[in-house]
Amino acid sequence: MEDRADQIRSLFEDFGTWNILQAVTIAVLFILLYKLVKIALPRLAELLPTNLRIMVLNAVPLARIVLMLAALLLIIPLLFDVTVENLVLILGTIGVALGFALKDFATSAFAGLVAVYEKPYRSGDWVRIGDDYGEVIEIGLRAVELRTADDDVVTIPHSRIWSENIINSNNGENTLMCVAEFLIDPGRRADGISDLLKDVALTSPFLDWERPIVVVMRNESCGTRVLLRAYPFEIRDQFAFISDLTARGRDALVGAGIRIVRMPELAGE
Amino acid sequence: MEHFPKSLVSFPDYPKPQTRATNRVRDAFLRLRRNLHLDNGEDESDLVPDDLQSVTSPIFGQETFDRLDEHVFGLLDDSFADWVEEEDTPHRVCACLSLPSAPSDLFQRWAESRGHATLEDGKLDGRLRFAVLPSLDPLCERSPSGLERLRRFCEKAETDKTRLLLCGSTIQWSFIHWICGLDLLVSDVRMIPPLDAAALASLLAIEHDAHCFKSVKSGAAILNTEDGEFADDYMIDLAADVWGCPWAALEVFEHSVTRNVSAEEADVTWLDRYDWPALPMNHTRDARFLLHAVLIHGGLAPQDIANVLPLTLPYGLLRALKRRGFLCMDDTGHLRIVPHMASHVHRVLREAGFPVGEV
Repeated sequence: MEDRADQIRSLFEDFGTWNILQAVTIAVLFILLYKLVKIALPRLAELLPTNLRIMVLNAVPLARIVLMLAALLLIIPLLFDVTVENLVLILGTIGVALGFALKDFATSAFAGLVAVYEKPYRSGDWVRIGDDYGEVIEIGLRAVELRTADDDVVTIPHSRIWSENIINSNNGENTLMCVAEFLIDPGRRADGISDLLKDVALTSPFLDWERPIVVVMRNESCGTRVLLRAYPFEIRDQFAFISDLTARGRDALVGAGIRIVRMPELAGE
Repeated sequence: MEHFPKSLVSFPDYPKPQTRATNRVRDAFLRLRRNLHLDNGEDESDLVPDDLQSVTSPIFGQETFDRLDEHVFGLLDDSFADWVEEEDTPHRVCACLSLPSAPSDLFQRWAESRGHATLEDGKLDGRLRFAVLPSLDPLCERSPSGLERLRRFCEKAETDKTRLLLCGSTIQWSFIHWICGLDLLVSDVRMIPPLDAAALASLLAIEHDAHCFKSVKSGAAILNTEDGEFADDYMIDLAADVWGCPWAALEVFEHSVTRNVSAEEADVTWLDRYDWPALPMNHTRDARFLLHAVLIHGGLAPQDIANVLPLTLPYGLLRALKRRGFLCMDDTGHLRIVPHMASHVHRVLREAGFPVGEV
């Protein structure tokens, strides 16, 4: 019992005001440095060629981990007399504290580390987690922030990667499949519809030439659903691309005498 | 002409002249500085006299361009003359491409000078034995009706007996390749070869053999060589900047000269590195889409912009791009990329992820 008390006493031997001040200064400096990295890197990413953008954006969470480890390595020896016994004591104490008081936080933080390594999402990726779909704008210590198409920012704890499927639309690439949907009158032959819509995609200024264009048709009770699938060369143009495909695709179908099924008709039925 | 290439090159293997790795790093750094608005342009050699004036009159006369045409026309003859004359050949359609920075009427002038029939409007005439399509402009309209026209052309080219030489720019060829596969009809695709630094130096020497050109940055004579190495990297950088296109190199050279007005050094012309202009700030996205469309179409009528770009372009963008030297209006009222800017535009678009083809 006395040994235990000695251990704890020796652990806090260097715990003086000056050391605390130094530790706080180091922590503040590293936080400021991280804030600077968090502001500077995304801005730098916008100025670099597109293929480097996502790579630079992904340096932010990595920088956070590196800075955090560096800060801890500097602060711990200032406050604690680090020996093997003390280290075990500290880790044990932290373990108990995390286990009881900060369980959820610790789970999310650990999942965040796994996320940086496994990369189910990266900065700049477009992901769907549950009902939320948006661009990953920040990977924090506890949570990931998504900006949705409606410009809402959704904060989702990393711990959801343990229990949910993460759907990543681009997986680190600068493109993703976009789909324009049309519901057309089934009482007409389907000849030419596929070519007509492929031409619409081929003449879009947003199209990535090197990716395939696919037209998929599916019969439904109210009509034939036609899906035009293609890839834009720039991920941030996905909504402009879908709008372009939808608007010109609809005009092309109507121009070719193909009737688009309208919702009021369905409601009437 | 010493160091000039002796034959056309294969399209996918176009050997773009490269600058030194250190110069590439420097250029990337300068571009980043410019993007961050940190570039104040103070990087001149102390040797540069204070009384330089910009040169407004062209330093190259017609002779340089005539000799260049003669050389390129010779290469085209060497590659295609036998094929044209051959009675029975399985290769009915061939293609010859140039960089977008080459003159738009290059192949037209060659065909006319050799008495070949040309198809300016892109319509095939089955009665001809041999014809040159001098530009891919009529086939490159990025709209459903343009695609329709292109497909009709392909159908006719497949069935007609006319032997056909398709000529145009590399980006137009890439566009056609991706959207309709015209390349499947073509037996061989050649390209006007690039001129490296040494070849460009001999091109400059045609009219200015005894003249001294010096670099503003280093103060060294740019055409001087020692053991085959240039005293200054100016020519190497120039060749890399314009991807070896001699016409663009001459134009960039013209834009880079400042002549000494003092009597003692009257025969010295100083050259600064060409300051490639930047896109209008805050409108870079729209500007890139417009430049991409113009590059693909070759010539694009202003009233057709709305048909090929589903974007509402800001007022004054066209004027701003013309003012900055990206766009110009040709004789027919079509917008074109200023020829010597094409490689720069290509670079800007590629960095932004736009599809611009293989070269």
